[in-house]
Amino acid sequence: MAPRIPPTPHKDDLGETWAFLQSGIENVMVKLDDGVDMKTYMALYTAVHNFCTSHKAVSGQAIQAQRGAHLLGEELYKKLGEYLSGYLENVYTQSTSHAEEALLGFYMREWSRYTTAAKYINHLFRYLNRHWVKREIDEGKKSVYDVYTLHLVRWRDDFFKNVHEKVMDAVLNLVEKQRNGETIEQSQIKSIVDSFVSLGLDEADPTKSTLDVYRSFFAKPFLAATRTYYEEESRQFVAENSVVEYMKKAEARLDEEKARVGLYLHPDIAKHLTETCLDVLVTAHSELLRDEFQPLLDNERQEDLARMYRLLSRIKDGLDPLRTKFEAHVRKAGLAAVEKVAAEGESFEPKMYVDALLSVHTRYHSLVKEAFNGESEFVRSLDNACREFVNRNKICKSGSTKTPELLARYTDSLLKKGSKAAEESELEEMLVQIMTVFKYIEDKDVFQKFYSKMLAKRLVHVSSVSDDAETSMISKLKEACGFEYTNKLQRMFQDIQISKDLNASYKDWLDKSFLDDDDRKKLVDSHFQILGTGFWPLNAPSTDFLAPPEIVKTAERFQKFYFDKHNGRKLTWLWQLCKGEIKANYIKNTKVPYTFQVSTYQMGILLLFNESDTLTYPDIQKATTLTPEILDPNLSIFLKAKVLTISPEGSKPGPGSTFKLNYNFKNKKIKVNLNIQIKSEQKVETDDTHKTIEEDRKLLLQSAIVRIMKSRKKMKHVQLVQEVIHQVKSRFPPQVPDIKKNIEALMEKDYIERLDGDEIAYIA
Amino acid sequence: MYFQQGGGVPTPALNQIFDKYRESPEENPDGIGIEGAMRYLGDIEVELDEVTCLAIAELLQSPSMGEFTREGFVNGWRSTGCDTVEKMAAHAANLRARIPTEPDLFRRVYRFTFPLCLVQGQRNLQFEIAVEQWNLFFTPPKGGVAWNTRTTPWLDWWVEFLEGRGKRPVNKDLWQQVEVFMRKCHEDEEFGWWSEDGAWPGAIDDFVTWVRERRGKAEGAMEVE
Repeated sequence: MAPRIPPTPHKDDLGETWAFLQSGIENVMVKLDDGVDMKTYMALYTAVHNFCTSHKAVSGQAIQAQRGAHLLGEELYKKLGEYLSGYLENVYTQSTSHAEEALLGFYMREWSRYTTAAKYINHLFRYLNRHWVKREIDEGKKSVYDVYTLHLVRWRDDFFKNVHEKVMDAVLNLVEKQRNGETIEQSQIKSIVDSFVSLGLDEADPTKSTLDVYRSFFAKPFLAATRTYYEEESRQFVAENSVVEYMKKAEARLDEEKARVGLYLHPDIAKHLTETCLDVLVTAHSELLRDEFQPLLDNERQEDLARMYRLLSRIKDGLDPLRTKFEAHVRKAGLAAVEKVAAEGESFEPKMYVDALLSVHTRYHSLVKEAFNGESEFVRSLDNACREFVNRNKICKSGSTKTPELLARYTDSLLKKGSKAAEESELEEMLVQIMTVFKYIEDKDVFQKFYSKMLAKRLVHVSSVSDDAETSMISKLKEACGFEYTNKLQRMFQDIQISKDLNASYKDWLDKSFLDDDDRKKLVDSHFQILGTGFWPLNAPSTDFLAPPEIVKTAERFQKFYFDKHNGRKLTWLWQLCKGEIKANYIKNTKVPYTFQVSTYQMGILLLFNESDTLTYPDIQKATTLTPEILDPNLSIFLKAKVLTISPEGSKPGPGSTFKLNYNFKNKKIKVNLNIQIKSEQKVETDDTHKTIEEDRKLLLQSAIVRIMKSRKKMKHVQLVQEVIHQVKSRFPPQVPDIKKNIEALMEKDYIERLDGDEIAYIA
Repeated sequence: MYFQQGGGVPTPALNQIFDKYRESPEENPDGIGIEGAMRYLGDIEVELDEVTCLAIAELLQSPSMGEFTREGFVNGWRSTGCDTVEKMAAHAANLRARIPTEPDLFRRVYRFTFPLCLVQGQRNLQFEIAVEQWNLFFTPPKGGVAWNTRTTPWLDWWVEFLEGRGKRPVNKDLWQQVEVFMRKCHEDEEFGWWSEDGAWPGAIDDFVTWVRERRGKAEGAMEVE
């Protein structure tokens, strides 16, 4: 049923026109559901049009006409505004009888009705919009809007201003219910949010909207309520629950609030909401959380640690105190692990020590990865802690060189034949682990020294477990420390390879050479290794030695061959490293004669017994010229193995004793190894190694100083010291007094001199 | 060039004086030996065991203790404008007065003493000689600067300290730095200027530690009393 239409008004009568329009608008506003027929609609539209154009027709003067149109448009605009204010006043009055959810329902119903009507009315007044309003706006008039916007402005100023607080109270009550676990009608809040957003009008540019209204009237109270709610909740929760539980709660709440944004809030609030929640849930309780860090570490609660990390990583400077605690904790754990090993006394295996270091590293490395997201700052803390306990702990109390020494020994035990790591892949894995510890070692030069000594032995005695493993280890060291660090190690390998070829050509040479039958019969099956003096960490023998004639002949023959090939080279025989096998044909109680594996020194002693069954100590000493330090322990080995017997019986080898060949020698094995390293030798070797390290460090420091000064010519003393530290620290951590001492030494040698003002100058 | 212009002393007059003190004009026409030097120093009223004597050696660039060369003698005196023995004596007296009060002059003479006192063929000063020279330079009676203060017998402790570590020969750097150190000690006897990482020679670093310990002990002893 279409409403009855009043008669079309006179176009230049404002009162009549407005009355006509008002009744039409009223219909749109209140009874839109009943519909507005096209005819009515057109009549209303025409009335606006006619009114606005009426004076143009009457006066016929362009300027006046325009002014007239202005005035009349303004009247209409004002009337509409007044009508809306009146209408909204009525709406407000109605609203006062609603509260809470009912109010929200009411608000949304009215809003929806009002905005729908606004669209139609806007349409009816299009002519006004297009001419009068446009001109006003173009002329920069404030507070003139298109008709739709006028509706919003009126809503905002005449209704919203009066009810928003009550509406927000209702919204916040709903949210609180939801936070308390009740189910609510979310869509209602979503609509409210949208309506608040719609009211954000940009006064400067009506085509744009702003979030001002939403921000001040929705977001602000929402955030404040959130803060209060969680302040209260967390305070209570913490009082009644453990920190671990609280962290779970806090994390769940943070997730929940994040989801809430997506459900019914405007994304603009997301950042502030998160910040508010973090502030109340995390920052406010950060001390409490941090206090729990140590207990969690102690109990290895990885999941809870991860949660704490996640929470504290989201607030400013949240993690710094944890890093410090973590570092201290790891260091303590490392030191404790070492203490345990140290409690074993002197006799622990290097493996035990290295395993102890590794186990701590592995444990906390995985914690950093799993719980702390592998974050680089925690990795740094871990590294700092490891460096501390690897270099400074109970076992290396006497000096930080103990760790590299033990690590090198452990490596040797793995790479030497007879090691327990059977699988190649397993061995490789262990080498990787060794590098983990190696990375933390400050005295890398010490490792190098010991490693090269032991490598030399493995190579000379052909006792490497595998060439691949050796190569792999060297390439790892090279990768970590550079070419220079492994240069000599690689040259040692080369020497061994070259020696193999050399022995092959020696065999050929031997076959072609003219040896008489007697010589051929006495030919000793031999193998030679030529080791470059500069690359091998080997010393000349510590004792004189007259080799047995058979050996001397063999050696001379090889020397002849070698000097033919390489004129002018010098060969030094390292008897202490030579070894061989001899057959004990004199023992008749076996079918196959025993073979003794002996050192060359031992060979020299035993072969004497070919001439005589009984020899005195002075006889042996005179014939071999071995010093007692070498001779005595070797004789003891023979006595212990019962190859020789001593008289007087039970005495220790010495000038008064006599030795007799034991024809009744017996052993379960056919091959008997008598070439056992003497304890005292090992000790001397270690001491020697430490001594050469000191020497090498002095050289390294001095060459660094000279190198720096040569390129800089002049430099402050302090800077020079710093530069030296910088250049040398990859090998070992230099002490300032040592650097100064070497600067002084170079001054004395006139490489450098002191100028005034603590400057050092290079003397060319 | 500068000296020649400034002095304007005719070379012949100086050569004549130099010639008077030569010992063997035939064998060594351009050198004055020990006897001549002693006679000459006596004539210009300089004693052999005072700092002024070393200042003269520095002025005339003596190659070693008690020797002068013609070149050094002539150049040295020409630069001062002295052409008679009387003027030279006056100049020596002037030096005597200036040495304790003019640090630059003092340092120049002190540093020149190191090569002067070296035993031929050696790079470092023998400990005993060094101590003798320090006693000369660092006490007032013979024209030096006092290094013992009311609170600390610096020179005595320094010598005692070096004796304790084995009377090692003194190298040039240490010799020079001791004088710098001496001045610093006067500035602040509590070593406020000293740092472990500073550029001081190791011996001086160790001495600082030694002095501190010694003072600590002294204080401890007083407390016990």
